[in-house]
Amino acid sequence: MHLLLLSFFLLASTALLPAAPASDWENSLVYLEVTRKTYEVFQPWTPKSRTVQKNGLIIGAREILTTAEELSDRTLVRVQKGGRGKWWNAEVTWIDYHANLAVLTAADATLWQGLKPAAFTTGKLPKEGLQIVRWRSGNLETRKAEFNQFLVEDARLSFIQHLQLEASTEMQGVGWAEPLVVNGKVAGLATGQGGNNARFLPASFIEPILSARKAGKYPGLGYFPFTWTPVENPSTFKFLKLPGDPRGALVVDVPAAPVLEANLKPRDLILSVDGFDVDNQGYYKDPDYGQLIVENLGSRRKFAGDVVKLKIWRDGAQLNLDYRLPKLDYSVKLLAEQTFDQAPEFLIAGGLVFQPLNIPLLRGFGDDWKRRAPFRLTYFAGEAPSATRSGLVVLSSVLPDPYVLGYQDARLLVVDAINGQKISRLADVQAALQKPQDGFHTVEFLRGDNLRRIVLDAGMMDEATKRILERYRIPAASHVEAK
Amino acid sequence: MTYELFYRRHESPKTVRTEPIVLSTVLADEVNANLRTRGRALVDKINGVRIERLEDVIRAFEQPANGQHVIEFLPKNTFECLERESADKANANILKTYGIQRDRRL
Repeated sequence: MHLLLLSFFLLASTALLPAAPASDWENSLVYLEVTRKTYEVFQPWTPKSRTVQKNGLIIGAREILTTAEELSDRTLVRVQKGGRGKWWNAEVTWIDYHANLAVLTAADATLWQGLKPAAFTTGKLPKEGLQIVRWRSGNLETRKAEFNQFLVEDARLSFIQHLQLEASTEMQGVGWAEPLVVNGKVAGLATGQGGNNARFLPASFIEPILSARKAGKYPGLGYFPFTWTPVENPSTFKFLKLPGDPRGALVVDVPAAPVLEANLKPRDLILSVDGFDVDNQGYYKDPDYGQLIVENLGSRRKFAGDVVKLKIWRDGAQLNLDYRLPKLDYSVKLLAEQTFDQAPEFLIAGGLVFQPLNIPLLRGFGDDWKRRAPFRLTYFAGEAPSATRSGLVVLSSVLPDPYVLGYQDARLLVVDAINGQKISRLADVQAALQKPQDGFHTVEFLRGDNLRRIVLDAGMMDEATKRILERYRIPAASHVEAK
Repeated sequence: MTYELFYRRHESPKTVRTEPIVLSTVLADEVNANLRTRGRALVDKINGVRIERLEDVIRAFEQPANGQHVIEFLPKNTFECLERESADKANANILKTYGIQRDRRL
């Protein structure tokens, strides 16, 4: 009962706290230090440590808002106020990697003394008076920012495209949740910078998520999983039997998953979404942000499970479609986009190193992995899972040993089957290795221009694995997540 | 395209095309000014005919539906439409403009 009363008191006191005035950001902005585990992509048994500093914004009673970036696999989060001095331990109470937002708290009451919550801008963004604020060497640094545009682009940590704000600034190294402020309110949180242009999550994207979360009604972001293309060719509209002016975005691909009750089909024209007319370039006129691509209407004050009203043109007739937004899920793709908050999976069997093929693995080839990684592996990134193959496993390398002599150069081969059993996950590899055939383990790879199969003496595998782990000083033969 | 030209024959030999056909370029003219696909695109079908080799292209262009040619591309099901009558009329002029003697060599 006492705890309940205290909670009510805290909520009430937050409601009474005034928003931070223009000169009061030092009481609303804190400095965060995050230490997290990272791993060698191709030697996933080797953990490393990484520490980053970023900014946090006081948004309510004992609540700090920051971006979700660099918070995965965290081991320690600390908060500092006033830009220097004492550190307080903090913990993440809520995180949404797709939205790139996280809320932190700290148990020690002394942290919160003197801190004031900041308020977000509402309505149209004032284009003048924008500033970026951050802690730097113990001082609050404030620099002018100039609004460039609102745009809809890929999220930092997800495949969703959503609203972002671009502003130019002379401040460098922006992208660590620095608030963009105007008239004493927060207009956005920084997520990155290219040259002098910094990107921000706009307040209008953040605030509805936080409000829904506070009300306990945030189901996660939804998205449009289909692919569309602009249409400039009048002959295409004639082919589709659409009378009148050219308009609408042409759907060209609808993935089999997620399964939706009322779904689009290839060659549908999307004429309007929630009452916003869509032009033949796939843009609509947003009353707050100007011309934006239609993707934004999947996250404009809408979440997973919400219905967007589509007016479409199909087979020469107009239809209304109640399109229920599917929830963003990294596992909806054949190659998982992210694998946050879990140690990377691997399995070593007689020197053969098996790993799930996912985008984090391909990122091991560097920032330009789409060009540097083997073509066939990156091509899988555009493919959808099937009923028989929910994922892929690769033989990422072979640790040289007499047991695997002759196979030591094999690497990055996609496993099709082991001992006759189809492989989609590492758990399948574990299970298949329990069932050798006629005393042999046979690892078969997808048909290609490379090695087709490896055959090993099953009776010698356990001993070889043990020897290899000792020689290479690898602490365990596997890490396989239970699913 | 790399997948279609190289990997498909190994991974899925039953679906491989004898002679994959690409729209290599578009000779710019008023008749094709609105085409969004301007080249480097693998052709899947023309007027509903699956294209296995260049001879299929000729055969398919002889079967337009509703006075239009519909060219479908891989891998994402994009397509382009051309008005048959306008295209036929413009063809001779395009060959002349670009100094091309014949519209085919098989």
